[in-house]
Amino acid sequence: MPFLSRSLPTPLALAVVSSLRPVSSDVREVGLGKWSGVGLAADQLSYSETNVASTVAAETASRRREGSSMPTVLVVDDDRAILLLAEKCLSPIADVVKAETAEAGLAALKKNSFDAVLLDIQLPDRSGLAAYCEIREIDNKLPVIFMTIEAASNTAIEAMQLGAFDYLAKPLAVDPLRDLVEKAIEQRKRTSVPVALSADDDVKKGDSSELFIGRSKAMLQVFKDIGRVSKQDVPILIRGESGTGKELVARALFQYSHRYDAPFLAVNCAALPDNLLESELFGHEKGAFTGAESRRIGKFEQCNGGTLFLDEIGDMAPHVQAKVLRVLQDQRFERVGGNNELTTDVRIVAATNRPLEQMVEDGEYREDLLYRLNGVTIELPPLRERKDDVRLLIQHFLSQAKTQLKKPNLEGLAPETLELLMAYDWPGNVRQLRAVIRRCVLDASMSVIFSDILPREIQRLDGGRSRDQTPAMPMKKVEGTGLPTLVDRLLDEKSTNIYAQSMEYMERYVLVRILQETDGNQSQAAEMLGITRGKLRDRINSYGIILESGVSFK
Amino acid sequence: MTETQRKRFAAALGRLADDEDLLIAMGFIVLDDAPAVIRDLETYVAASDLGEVASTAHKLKGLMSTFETDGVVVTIQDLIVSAKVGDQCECERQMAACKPELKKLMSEIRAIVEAGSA
Repeated sequence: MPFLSRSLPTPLALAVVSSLRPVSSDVREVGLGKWSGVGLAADQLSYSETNVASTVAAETASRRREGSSMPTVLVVDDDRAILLLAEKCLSPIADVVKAETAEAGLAALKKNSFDAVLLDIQLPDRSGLAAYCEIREIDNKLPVIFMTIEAASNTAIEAMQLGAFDYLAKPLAVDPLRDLVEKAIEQRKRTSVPVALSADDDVKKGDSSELFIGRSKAMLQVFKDIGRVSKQDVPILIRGESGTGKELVARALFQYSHRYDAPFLAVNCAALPDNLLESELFGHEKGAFTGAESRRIGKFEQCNGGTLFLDEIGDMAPHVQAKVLRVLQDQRFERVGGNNELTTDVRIVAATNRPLEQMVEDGEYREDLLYRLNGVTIELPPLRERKDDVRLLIQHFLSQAKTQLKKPNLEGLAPETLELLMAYDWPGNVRQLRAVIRRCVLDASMSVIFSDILPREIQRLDGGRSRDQTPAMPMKKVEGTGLPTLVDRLLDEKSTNIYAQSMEYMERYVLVRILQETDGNQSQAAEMLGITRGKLRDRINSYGIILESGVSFK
Repeated sequence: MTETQRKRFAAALGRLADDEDLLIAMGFIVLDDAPAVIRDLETYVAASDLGEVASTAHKLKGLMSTFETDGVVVTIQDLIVSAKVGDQCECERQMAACKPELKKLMSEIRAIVEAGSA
């Protein structure tokens, strides 16, 4: 559609033409007459002092009075060609109000409400960034799109860091401009919805431990157990799935114990090979093994009088189990390669997600050690069994992330976002929930978090991924070459469980490959893999590996 | 616009969804506003007021980039960089290089405005 019809100029066209300095005082008549098919030499034109903004604003107000329900966009730029382009481009989707200075733009903002702002980075009376900060003070939910001739400038980057909706490089193009403004208007509508969960009210002021956030029956039992046993000098075994907070319970037991002013040390038994684990726990003498250049003091010695947390105690070689048992029974041990018997006064708190009883039956774990550890057990429920606590935890992590990630303008979660988070099963438990919330806060560009920035497995509302479910990959044919594709897909889905899923993929491949190599002989396979037979059996069961003629998945 | 003019400003028309009338209307504005900006720029270069040179050249670049994104726009960008690093000699040289390029572009814009008015 021609912008300026030569026979019937649109009212908007009149308004723009009236910005031309007239040769008579009657702006519109002269402008119209001059435009009606008569050739104009550009150097014969002169322009009025008429403020374009006021002209169009009057027309906009008139349209509004007529009951227009169009959104309104404020365009602030001292380049009149840009104002013209923006007006023409956006008039199908919004009423446009124009301002040539930051002052005029801010004055318009204070008087009227807008759905989006287009703002030039450099204005005659102040910088676009300074104007942006003032706009945020007036309305911090208003999407602001910067326009800049230098797209990669530091100013543009700084604008994005300050929370601008987006920026456009000049020269402007009609289609991208319209698309972006439409998105901004849509975002404005969505942020007008009240948040379902505020990021301001932390359930746990002053106490940053998420362990104590919970009103479910299962967690109340955990709190009672901690209270009951913390001051007793007995070993504790904490049981629960990965990510349920076992280390937090261990620390709570320590903090509420008589040993709170003595050391607390933690060792992850699954993270170290068996020989290194023994050295880590009990120390070694110089020359005890290749690489033992000097004596090393182990954790049992360092922690004398304190508390030692043995995480993943199910992943411990038999000979290390025996030494730990001796410490539990007699408080005595020797360093690796040493002959001197040493004593220690350590309270052991252990944790596991392994089925120790089954491992005892299979001969993979010492029954006497389990008996010693199992005297007092604290069971941590998986998050899916304490759904009542999910909302409280979300609120806590949201408030925490808002502060730590410096997002002062964050208001909270949109209703549909909260609904999806509440419906998800959280196979990674509290750790996964925390990671997802932090990621959402980091990715959020507006004051309200919408569901489109959630990881895809949560958006799908499929009830979550079960612990045994793997990403789509060839099950029958174990190739092992799909790892890069898997990681790329998980990145694309904004998964917060990439490490676990990737390790699971790798582990499956390695186990099946080695078992194929040993023709299903688990003892040989365990030896080649450098893991205990019990660990291998555990993995075989959880991955559904069938050991018949040939090795395959279920 | 003539076929030659359409080809000459094909990129600009592409950005404006082939709206020739809009391009012509923007041409009016550029023809009206650019001369004063160019005069100011010359004054600031002569006065070695490099801060004003940078911001005025920035404004001129914005005006011209509606019609062209290389040619004189690149020269103006070089002028902005020179002004920001405080190189007066380069500013003078680049201003001198700009002037004939600006004159040429302005006359091309005038031609399409006149063609549009015919």
